Amino acid sequence: MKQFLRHLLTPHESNNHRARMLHHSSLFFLTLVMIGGSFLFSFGYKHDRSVLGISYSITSDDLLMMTNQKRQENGLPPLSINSSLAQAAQRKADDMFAKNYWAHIAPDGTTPWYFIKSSGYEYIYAGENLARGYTTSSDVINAWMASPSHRENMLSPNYKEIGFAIKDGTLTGDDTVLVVEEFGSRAAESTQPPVQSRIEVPTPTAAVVLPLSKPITPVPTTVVTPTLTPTPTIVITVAPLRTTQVEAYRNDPLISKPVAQKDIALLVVGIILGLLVVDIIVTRRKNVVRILSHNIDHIIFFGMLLLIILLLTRGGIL
Amino acid sequence: MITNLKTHKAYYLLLAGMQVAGFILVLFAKGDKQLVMTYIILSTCFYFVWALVHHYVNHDLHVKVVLEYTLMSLLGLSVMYFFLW
Repeated sequence: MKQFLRHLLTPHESNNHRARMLHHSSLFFLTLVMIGGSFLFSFGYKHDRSVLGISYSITSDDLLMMTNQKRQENGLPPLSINSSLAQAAQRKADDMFAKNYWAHIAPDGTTPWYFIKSSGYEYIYAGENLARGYTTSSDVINAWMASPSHRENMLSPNYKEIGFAIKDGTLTGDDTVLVVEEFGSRAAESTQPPVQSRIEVPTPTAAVVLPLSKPITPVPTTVVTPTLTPTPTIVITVAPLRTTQVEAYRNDPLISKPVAQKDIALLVVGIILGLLVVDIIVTRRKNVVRILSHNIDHIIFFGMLLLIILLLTRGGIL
Repeated sequence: MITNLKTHKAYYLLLAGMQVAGFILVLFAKGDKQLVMTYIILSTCFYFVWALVHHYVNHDLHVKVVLEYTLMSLLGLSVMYFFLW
């Protein structure tokens, strides 16, 4: 076994002073394995996502809790879930997948404000944060907090309410998880004092909103204004619940495709780089002279590929 | 190997510079898988052509050398294809 590994991985007399894995036949075989593997993964992903799918644990509840935690750390009042904003976020996510774009403004010019307004939310302040490619709620929140503009949205005193949508699918050719976060405050709220204790008027949304928001903030005050009791809220309340149910069903496949792809690609590139470095060290020590020893060239090339893999495995925010 | 690196410093700097440029292009194309793959293919093509020119100028362009760079390029591309698709 030891001899076999030495033959496979290090320059030695038995392999003509070049690790067996760096021989042309091995490189060719490895190339075929990678091509076959990519077709196998594509096939598996298309046919059975319970086996090969996208694994993530991002929930609206966690996102809300962490956002409010950050706000409280900065001396700001917590935000509460608003079903209209949640519906706006869901519609924005649907639109992004349908029109295949990764931007705040759709290719046809549709702005985030369109989704917010058409969901029945009459805002005086509104904002939007987007994230993709993250697998946990804390990663999403940390990425937003690390970006000044997203952080500004999360810690803005102008916002009173928030809505989330979490959706997985293929976006700009990438199998990913998209998180949309819509912020807002309504005209009625802004004219009210910041803390209202008269919650005696029940609203259609309150029953669903309450479990999602830990501290009860004056959300129901909006109902005081008769014009702001639109019927769509009944439909809207379903959206966040459905999202959570879908997450619970989808986010636990047997193999997580993006993670497996990243790990295997890193393993192959890492092994090749390691073998090339070992080759340099051993051949220098033994003063072996060869025609084929372009290790520095290969290291530069595979080093670039390694950096690209590491770069692309990080999620993106907008 | 080290002697080779010193005498061909300009060539290696050119290769490293172009690979870094490829990485920066990918950085800006992040989110668009097809564009990312296009930049990776371009970087790989440059690596391959650079190798041929380098060895041709150095008078050691053999079939085995061409085969080695071809296989390394194909392996790199297949790994990136596997990773992206």
